Amino acid sequence: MTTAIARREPIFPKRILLDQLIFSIMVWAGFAVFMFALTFIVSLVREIEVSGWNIGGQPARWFAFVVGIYIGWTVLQLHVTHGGTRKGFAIQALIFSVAYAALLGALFVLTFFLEAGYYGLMGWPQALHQPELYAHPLDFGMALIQWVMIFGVWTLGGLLIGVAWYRNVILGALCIPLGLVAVSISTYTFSGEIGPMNWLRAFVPPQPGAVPAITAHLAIIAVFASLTWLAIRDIPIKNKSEAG
Amino acid sequence: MTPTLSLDTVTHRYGDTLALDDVSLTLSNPGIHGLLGRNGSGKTTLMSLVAGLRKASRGAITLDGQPVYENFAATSQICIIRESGDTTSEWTETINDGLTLARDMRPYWDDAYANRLLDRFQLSKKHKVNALSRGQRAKFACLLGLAARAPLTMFDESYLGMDAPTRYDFYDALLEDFMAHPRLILVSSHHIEEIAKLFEEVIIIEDGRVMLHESADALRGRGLTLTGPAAAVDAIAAGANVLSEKTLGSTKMVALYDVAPDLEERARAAGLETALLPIQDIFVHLTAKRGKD
Repeated sequence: MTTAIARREPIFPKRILLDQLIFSIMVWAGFAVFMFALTFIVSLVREIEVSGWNIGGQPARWFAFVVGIYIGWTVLQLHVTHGGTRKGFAIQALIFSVAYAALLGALFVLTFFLEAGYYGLMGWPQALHQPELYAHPLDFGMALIQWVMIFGVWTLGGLLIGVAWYRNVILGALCIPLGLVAVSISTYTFSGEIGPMNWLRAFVPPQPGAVPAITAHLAIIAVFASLTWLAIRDIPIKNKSEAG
Repeated sequence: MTPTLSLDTVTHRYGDTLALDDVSLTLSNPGIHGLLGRNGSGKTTLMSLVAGLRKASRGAITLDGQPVYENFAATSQICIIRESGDTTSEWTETINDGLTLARDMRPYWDDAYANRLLDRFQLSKKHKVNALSRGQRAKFACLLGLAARAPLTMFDESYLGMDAPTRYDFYDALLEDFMAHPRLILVSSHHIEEIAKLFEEVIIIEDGRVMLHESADALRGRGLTLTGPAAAVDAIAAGANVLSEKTLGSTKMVALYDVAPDLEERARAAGLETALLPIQDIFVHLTAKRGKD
């Protein structure tokens, strides 16, 4: 006879974090080498004037977004079909997003120090194209705050779109404009640039800075987390043929 | 520990389509039970609701008295393996990744048994799931279901795609593991003739409603074939519920359902050959009578 086993549903996403940690470190190492090599190639045709790694923040945030989609689309199904609950998944996914953002943020900011050594060796200036929350790449504290918030918003944004799309294609599509608004606000609070969504200026503080940035990002994270829960709480887990 | 599964007036709709209609059912005996039904009859919906993968539109589903939906105490006791193999991710994951996930999620997981099944089903931990053939995927899915050792285990057409020898190997593995670890196992299958001998109870579902739920032995006893001279067969079968009949020269065979208790004895006394009607034939006749193609 099978002996009954009672246990609580784990809320810390140990396995998901470990899987993504290993994968992300591998991707980060490859991406860093690629960016450093690319900078060297560029140096053959023009002067290096700014930090290449800082520019690499664009694909890095898309990477976080894709990981978020993977968690929302794939891990949710696996979690529930293996006997977990939607609520348990939602808690794990939220904790994962925060912890993962911290990990990516730390990796990203620490790479500025590797880049500083590389640039020093090559005699290149490690400046920023334009100051954001941090005025210099080696301003560790402010750079870390900025990048943890960026990765948090992008990971959670991916999670939201992943679960919303899994639930319903139209719902997923509706999340895209919401994401664009969030990205515009996020960018504005760091740099003062709001992109094509100029109408948003009516709703954001007059000046960018640390306090507006932290406030805005916490608000975006709260909105994303709430919408994610609304999408998950009674989501049907379809056959793969239906979900595809 | 064999749990008690109860469905109380469960109804489920997909938009305007009624998939399950007022289903009430209780399963509490350890055994391999068959959930039979034609395509679209509601088998997959029923199993998905029981596993908490969907929320029933109406009614209550409990396991040992506890609601199933969004209740980890209940869902952690349930394993469902669907034909689509959705217990494994298929991006770049290997079989080993699938086993690691199951080990992490399943409280009754038996790693040593999983490794033995890998050998038995000739699967390698290094194989990428997305590179497996349909039959190999089915084997891996069934492996996950068996090694999970959940008190309520459901296989929903999960061995479609396996070739015949592998299906028989799976039936053997299922029976061996059930004998060693008795629990509640629910199997839906279209290969009824192959697996019916394992069934303790049979549930036939048709148009979203439970048409029949009884022990497999009792069901087998309700169907009888009579073979012999046409005149003698007609005489014994007169007034009985005849499901089908075939004639070859002067010899006739009839399949009867819900026969009178003394009919078999009378048939033998009249020199006719008698045999129990296979569950598959009973299923076909019962569901075909509804006028479907």
